[in-house]
Amino acid sequence: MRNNFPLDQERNMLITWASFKEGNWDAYTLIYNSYFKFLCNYGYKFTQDVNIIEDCVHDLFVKLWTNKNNLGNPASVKNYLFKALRHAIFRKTEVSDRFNSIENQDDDTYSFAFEVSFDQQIIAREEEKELQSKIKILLQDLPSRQQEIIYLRYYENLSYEEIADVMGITTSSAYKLFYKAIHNLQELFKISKFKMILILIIFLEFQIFF
Amino acid sequence: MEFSTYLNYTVKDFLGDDTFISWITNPTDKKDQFWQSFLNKYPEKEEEVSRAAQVIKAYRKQDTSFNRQNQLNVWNRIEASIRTQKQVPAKVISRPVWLRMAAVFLLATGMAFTVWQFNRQETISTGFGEIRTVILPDQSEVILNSNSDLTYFSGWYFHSREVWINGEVLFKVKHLNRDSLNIKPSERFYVHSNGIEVEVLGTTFNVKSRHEKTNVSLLNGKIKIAYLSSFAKKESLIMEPGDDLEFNHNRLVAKKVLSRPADITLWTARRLIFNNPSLRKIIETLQDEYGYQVSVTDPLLQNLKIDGEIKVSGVKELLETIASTLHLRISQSDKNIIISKISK
Repeated sequence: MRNNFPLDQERNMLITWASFKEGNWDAYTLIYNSYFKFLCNYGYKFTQDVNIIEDCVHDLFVKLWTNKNNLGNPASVKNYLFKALRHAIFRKTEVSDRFNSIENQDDDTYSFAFEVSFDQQIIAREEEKELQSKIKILLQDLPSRQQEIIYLRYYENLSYEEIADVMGITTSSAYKLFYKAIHNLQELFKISKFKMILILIIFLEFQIFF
Repeated sequence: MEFSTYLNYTVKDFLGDDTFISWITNPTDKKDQFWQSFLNKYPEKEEEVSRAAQVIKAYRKQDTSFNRQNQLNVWNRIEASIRTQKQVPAKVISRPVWLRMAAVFLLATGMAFTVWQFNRQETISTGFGEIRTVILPDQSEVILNSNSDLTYFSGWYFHSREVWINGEVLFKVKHLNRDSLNIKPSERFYVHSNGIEVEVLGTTFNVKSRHEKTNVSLLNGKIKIAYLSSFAKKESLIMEPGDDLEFNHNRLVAKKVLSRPADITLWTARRLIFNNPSLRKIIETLQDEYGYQVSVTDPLLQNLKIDGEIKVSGVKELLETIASTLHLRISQSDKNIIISKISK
């Protein structure tokens, strides 16, 4: 479960970033290898066309190297790359104009389906499977921006400030958007007594393992 | 965080709570401890807490679209792209406003340059062993001997011609004055060196200024020299052709008449000319004009004199002449010369 990039590693990454800006190829390589996985995962939420994601990651890193002298110092390298990749994917799929107008109209969606896909191998229990399929069905009906914020909040564990930066909205908008999303997941919280007992068992097991 | 905050929390509230999310997404022993003790104290909240935890945990168990081979492939593509990337010249975008501003800037700079040009300090200098001929703005010719420099301010059209020198310079000043009864300021030519001032209209003369000592030798025409008398009074005198005056700093110390005035220009032909020189004099020339480091094993040797005239074409020949006429041993390595007695 601890699949977030550890904090001190994030801090070291800022030093690596500074070194990369000075033209250190090894630092550049390290940044790529550290974040490729995160970027692909995030990109996969926008499009299931892996070629588009890989093209965007390629373009993003080539651009980083070319413009290394003009880059700033982000608070978090990961979030900076997320934001850049998000932008690249929107650009590549030629929806940037639409995306911008969406931003202004405070609409909740863009053309991407923010896909939730569960790894079948990991899922061992029926109860868990049921919950996951419920999550999937519910999320599918959510506007993509709400799906995205759920991902950034629960999966990438970003703060509201970081989400606001990545998604290009204000912090209070991020906060509102997230609550809207949770509100739409209400269905998940209605639980029967019987299921409740099952879930409690699972939960207690989690407590033992983690 | 106080427990009381969570007493009225629903599943939805937990799902939106930063502390709660941080526990599930990034658990630590401390966070586990907090929530465990919360649940021990308020078991009735177990349902909400576990449900919220389940939702987040279930959500986090998603497919990861990650493949090590893809990571390598994309990296190879990135490397290839950077390697083949050509330096694309920056596009020149012509903006009328920008251009206009640039034009104004250029005009202003041009005007400033013109003004500056007329009062610009120019310095001409020569290195060791270098002789250089320069034509000044008034078409006067100056020849700088080695290790010398000449400075002047341009814009001679507006004021008198004036130069400052160090080292040795032969002047062939162009005569501009047509009416000797009416001399304009711009027709006078001044040379400043080591506290003395040479004023001419148009002549050929040599000024050698080294080690506080200044020699002014006149080939033809007339020159006026201003200097300080022994009583720090400003004095001046007129030199006749063939005159050679020697000043120590700005005091006149010797006045000679040259037997062959034409010889003062001989150095310009890269010839070393000495008349009855002492070894000290030769050493001085070697050090000042050619940049040699000359050491003498016995200081008294410097007083040795060569009778007659030395006219040589270079340092090598000069050293050979000294060695043979004064019976000295001269060893040279690069710019170092050691002069010693021949041990018997």
